[in-house]
Amino acid sequence: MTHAAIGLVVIFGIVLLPVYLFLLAAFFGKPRAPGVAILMLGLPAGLLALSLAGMWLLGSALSLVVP
Amino acid sequence: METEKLLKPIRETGIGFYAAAGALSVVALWMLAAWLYQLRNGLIVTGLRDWGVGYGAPWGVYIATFVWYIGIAHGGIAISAAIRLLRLEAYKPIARIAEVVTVISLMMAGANITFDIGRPDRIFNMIVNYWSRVGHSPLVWDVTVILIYMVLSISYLVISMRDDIAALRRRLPRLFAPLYALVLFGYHPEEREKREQMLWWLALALICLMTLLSGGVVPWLFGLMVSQAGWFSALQGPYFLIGALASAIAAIIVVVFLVRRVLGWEKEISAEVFSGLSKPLAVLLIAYLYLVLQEQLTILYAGPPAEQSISHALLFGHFAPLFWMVIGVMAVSVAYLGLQWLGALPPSVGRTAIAAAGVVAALWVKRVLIVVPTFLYPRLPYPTGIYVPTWVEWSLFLGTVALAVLLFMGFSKMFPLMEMEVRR
Repeated sequence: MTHAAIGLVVIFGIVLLPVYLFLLAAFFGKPRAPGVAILMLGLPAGLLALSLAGMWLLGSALSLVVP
Repeated sequence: METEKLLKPIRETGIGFYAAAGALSVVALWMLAAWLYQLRNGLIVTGLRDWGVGYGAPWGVYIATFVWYIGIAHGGIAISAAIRLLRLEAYKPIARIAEVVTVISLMMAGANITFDIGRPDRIFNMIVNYWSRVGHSPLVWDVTVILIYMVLSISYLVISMRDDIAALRRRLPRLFAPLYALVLFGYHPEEREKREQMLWWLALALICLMTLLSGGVVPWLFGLMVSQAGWFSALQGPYFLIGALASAIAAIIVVVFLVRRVLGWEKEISAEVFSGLSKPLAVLLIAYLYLVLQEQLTILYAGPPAEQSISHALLFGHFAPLFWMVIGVMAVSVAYLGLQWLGALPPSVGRTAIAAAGVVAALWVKRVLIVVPTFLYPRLPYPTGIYVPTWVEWSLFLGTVALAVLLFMGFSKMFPLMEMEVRR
């Protein structure tokens, strides 16, 4: 396997497996309550978006400080 | 009475709290000033220099502190998740404290990485160029998994608080009402069964992710670097994982001890919690010392010259005082905790906390000893380098510690530090 592809397999194929399992359990595990599942999953999704936006904001703010 | 005691830290604030918060704020503000100074002048104000021809170390206190915080972060959620998965009811009183320690430590780990970047204003470029980097860059793997781990840890903490906040909302400070409204977004009591099922799976996911992060993605930053003597080793995964778990359990013991002492929760957090946590800590420290022996013996017996020069520096040379101090603190802690476990010494919460504090400090120094020596003793025939952290690096390191304590104190003024269910 080339170096260019190994990270995709390691991260998205192995390391994140527990996260996929959690997502599957949220939607297909009993008791089934898609509304609650979506509501609860909205939190990590929102936090992820917030983190990325925060990173962009931090970079932009720091560009004003760094000469 | 029970709920009153739970709410007491939120509703009553003594002069000691303000004094501590004031002192910590001064240190945190000093950190901001030092960072501003570093941003304006560049990394030249630190002791970091290029390695090899630069005779220095480009990674130092910031990266060592990042690894240290990541290690501490893993214990909190691991303990909390284990309590949920294995139904360890006796440890439930410390579950939320452990979760908060995780979230704050992850934030401080992120801060230390940002300090280490020469051009932090370009931090978002990592996201812009994400797909062309993630295939081959362990640094991008780290950003990916730490970000997901942090997001899921905060989610775990928030979701597990919904019932408590709903029950106590009217008695919590009005000042933070918008925050409580956010935590309770879409709340209805019937969600409980589904929420508990999701929390169980989230706990399982976090424990697995923690193992793969602390015993995989973070050590791969070092273990996959063939160019760096002392790092390129398959041992790094278990080495880092055991070190992370040891520093995490030790940190939780210290934090829980302080919370118990300050809030007078001796009845709520029993002495058995401390003796229970001290046992895995002793086992992990023995395992860590065993791995140090494996590593050093392999290098000293037949290691390549560059590896041997690092080992000599650690065992007999430049780094020997720090190295033997770390080993000494760990050995004494293991001996004390082991004798306590075997019943040869009377159990003591205070002395357990002191031993744990020693381990936390020793493992920070050990992280410095993992990060720095490889740069000062390079594979190519350059003269030995030198690295002395400057006041800027010390200010930023101590500032994150002060900020972490300040954030924890802030959390204790907004949310209950113990689950309501424990009280019921």
